[in-house]
Amino acid sequence: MRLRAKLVLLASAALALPAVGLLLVRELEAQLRRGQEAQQAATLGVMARALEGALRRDPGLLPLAPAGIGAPTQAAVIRIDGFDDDWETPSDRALALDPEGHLRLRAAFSEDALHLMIEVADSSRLRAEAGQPEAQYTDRVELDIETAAGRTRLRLANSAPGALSVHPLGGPPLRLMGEWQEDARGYRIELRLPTAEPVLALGLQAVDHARPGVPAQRYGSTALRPLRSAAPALVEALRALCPPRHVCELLEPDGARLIAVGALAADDGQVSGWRRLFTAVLGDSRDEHDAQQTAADALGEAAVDGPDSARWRRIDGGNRLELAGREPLRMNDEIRGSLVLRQASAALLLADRALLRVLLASLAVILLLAGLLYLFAGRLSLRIRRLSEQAEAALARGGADAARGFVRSQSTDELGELSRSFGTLLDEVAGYTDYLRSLAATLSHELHTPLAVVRGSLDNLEAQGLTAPSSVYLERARQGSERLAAIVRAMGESSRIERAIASAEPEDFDLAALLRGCAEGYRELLSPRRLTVTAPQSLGFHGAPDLIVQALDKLIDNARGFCPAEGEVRLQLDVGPGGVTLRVANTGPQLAAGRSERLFDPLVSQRPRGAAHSAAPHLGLGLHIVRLVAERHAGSARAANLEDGSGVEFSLALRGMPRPRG
Amino acid sequence: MSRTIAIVEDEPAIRDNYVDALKRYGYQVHGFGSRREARAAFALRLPDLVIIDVGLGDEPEGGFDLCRELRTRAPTLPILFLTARDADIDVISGLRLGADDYLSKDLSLPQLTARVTALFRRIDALRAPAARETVLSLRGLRLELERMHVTWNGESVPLTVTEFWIVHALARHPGHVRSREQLMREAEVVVDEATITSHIKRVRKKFEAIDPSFDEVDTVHGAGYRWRP
Repeated sequence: MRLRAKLVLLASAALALPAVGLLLVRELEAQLRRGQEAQQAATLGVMARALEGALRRDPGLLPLAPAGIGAPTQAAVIRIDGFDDDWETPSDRALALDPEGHLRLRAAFSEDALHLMIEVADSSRLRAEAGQPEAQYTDRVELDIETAAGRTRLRLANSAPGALSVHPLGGPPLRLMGEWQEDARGYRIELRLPTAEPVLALGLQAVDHARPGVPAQRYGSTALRPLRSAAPALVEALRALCPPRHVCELLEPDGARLIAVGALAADDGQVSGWRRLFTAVLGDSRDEHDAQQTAADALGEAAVDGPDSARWRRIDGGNRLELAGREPLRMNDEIRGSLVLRQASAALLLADRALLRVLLASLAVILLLAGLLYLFAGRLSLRIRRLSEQAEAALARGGADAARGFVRSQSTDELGELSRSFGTLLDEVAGYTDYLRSLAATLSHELHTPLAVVRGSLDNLEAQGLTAPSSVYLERARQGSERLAAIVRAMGESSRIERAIASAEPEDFDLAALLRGCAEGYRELLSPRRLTVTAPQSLGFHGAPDLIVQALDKLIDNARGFCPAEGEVRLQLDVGPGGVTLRVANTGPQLAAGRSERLFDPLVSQRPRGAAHSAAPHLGLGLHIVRLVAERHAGSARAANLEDGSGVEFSLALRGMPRPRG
Repeated sequence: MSRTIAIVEDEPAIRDNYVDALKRYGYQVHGFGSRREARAAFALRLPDLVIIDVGLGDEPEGGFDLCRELRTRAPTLPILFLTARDADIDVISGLRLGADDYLSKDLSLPQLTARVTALFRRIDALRAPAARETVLSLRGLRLELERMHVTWNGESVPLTVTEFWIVHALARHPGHVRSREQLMREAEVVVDEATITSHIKRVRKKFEAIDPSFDEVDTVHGAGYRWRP
């Protein structure tokens, strides 16, 4: 894996920070909730004690009337339409006035008026309007209402669904509104009692005539049952105690709601826009989502199970939370009811601007860090790559030039040290190569003297006059010393040539003519191989003709060594925009891949060793000289395999020696 | 009376070889291992010919200084320089020390003796004014064989023995191409072709020093050189 990828992978470990932050937020959130719950519990406690005090002073505020009819105040408005979808008390919590449940009653205060929902199971229909005389013998409900004015008796009966028809049977007049609805089981009556006189007690009886002549079934009884409703004073007391933006409810011991005061503030806990995202991410999934169940009901359930202080519930589609707490009201060691406090709260308590800003800032810092790290890694890998390229370039140059173009880094860090070490290494290589090269020259120089001694002595020996056998030995010795001399000369040739090349003086001459002239000499040398020459008629060139000839000699010599007898050698001179290109191609074995650059290095030889080739050792200097000559003429030397695979071509790109200024 | 030759060479084996070879030719030869010895001897008596090894011991300039001293004392004394490296010849000749030839120690003893003989012959020819002189004239060139003297347009061209023989080889057959091998043989040197090239270069330079328009020597690339016909 590349360095940058590694570092980014490492940097991704920093993502643990936001994860930890998330946990922190959750933890803080939980703590804050506990705090809010505790605060609410405290408020509840205070309120409950206050209420208990009020109740102790006036027990009549919360009468003990378990057998009464409960009539909770509900917040939702009840429409008189005969349907109970606007009733908060569910149908299964209705008061059953007879053992089989044929007659069920629900009562509730809505908008300060008492509403009644009477459900009668009566599938045998025998209906008549309440005012008609037949009503005495048809299905009907007889309602007794006791107010401060007295007891009113009413007959409620409809022949068909619609507005309720009422027939007074006695007592102070009472006007009410109602609706009669039928369904498969029976019929329902929804009615509203006037607010003028508060209702004290109710009596309800449903009469079911199955068939004429058959005695009627009576459900319920006309005995009055007191209405359990909260005393206005209690309501006022509760209203006074209820803190603003809270809902306060008084529940009866069985969980039915008696009083509800207050309202949640619409803007409490509202969060806007993107903070909702946080809510979704960070909110507690344990919050209850059941919108149907009121908090009171949930708490009511808990009332049976045991003390439970708080429930959290999502409202408003999950954007807000409602915190509900419950506190039992005791009097004389018995629970007379419980107090419920509800408040709206933000789903995420931490959606407080400042804290969120801190979190965002830390996220931004993390991103910045990651970005910086990435940049740094990029720069680091760039530096390393550059160093590597430089080193490779230096190696490609090879030998004594290796250290030439290498730029050492100045920085003080480890990479800088590495770069400087490289530079030192390349210097060593260059120095060593230099030493090796000069070794040959030095040896050559050193060997001259003893060689001169040997040859001089042999000359003198010959002049002494020798017998036949002796002269044979003399001849052998002389040949040996000749070969030695050739070797010594070859060893020193390199530096000699380099000196000659460096000191060569340019002149203007015809390169094409020179090539043709040389070619004639080569033709004989190369035979029986074929030699073809392609060159323009004439070509003016500024350079050192002797050096060009030397280079050509070396190339031809090289071609001759590798081209078989039936092969062909091609000499070609082209003129191009960049200069002149001189090509020497020969058929024969191809170059090994990747070796073409190295061929021009001194002391590199591709020839097979053997005495057959020449008396002098093949030190591989020929192509080195070719390259030096090319470079002296502001050009380059290259070797490549021929495209058709038949052989090898050496090409010299020459621009001409620089003219002296002035 | 036989001629005396002084050889100043610090390598004893080489010196002794030279001494023996030249003695065989009937010369009186003295060998000196250092400049000091030689100078002391020369103070008493000058030899007829001096062969100096340029790289004398630990004094790189030793040979040159000796040559200068001799020249001031005897301007016409033949002096031969020997050097271990061919490349030095270019450098040395550039110093214009007035030596009669610059040779590498690679040369064989017969070649050395040939030069010595030629130099002595020249001295004799110079001393005998009206003797029959073999002269080669070609345009501006006037080559006197015995005296080993060359003039161009009347001006004397200071050539070494080797260079003289090269010019003679070329001018003798103007228009004929002489290969480097042939020139080597004529000049009694055994060197590589690059040295012949530098000899030719030096020859040209010396002529051009007198006459910048000198252009008699043609380079026939791949073949050799020739004197313009």
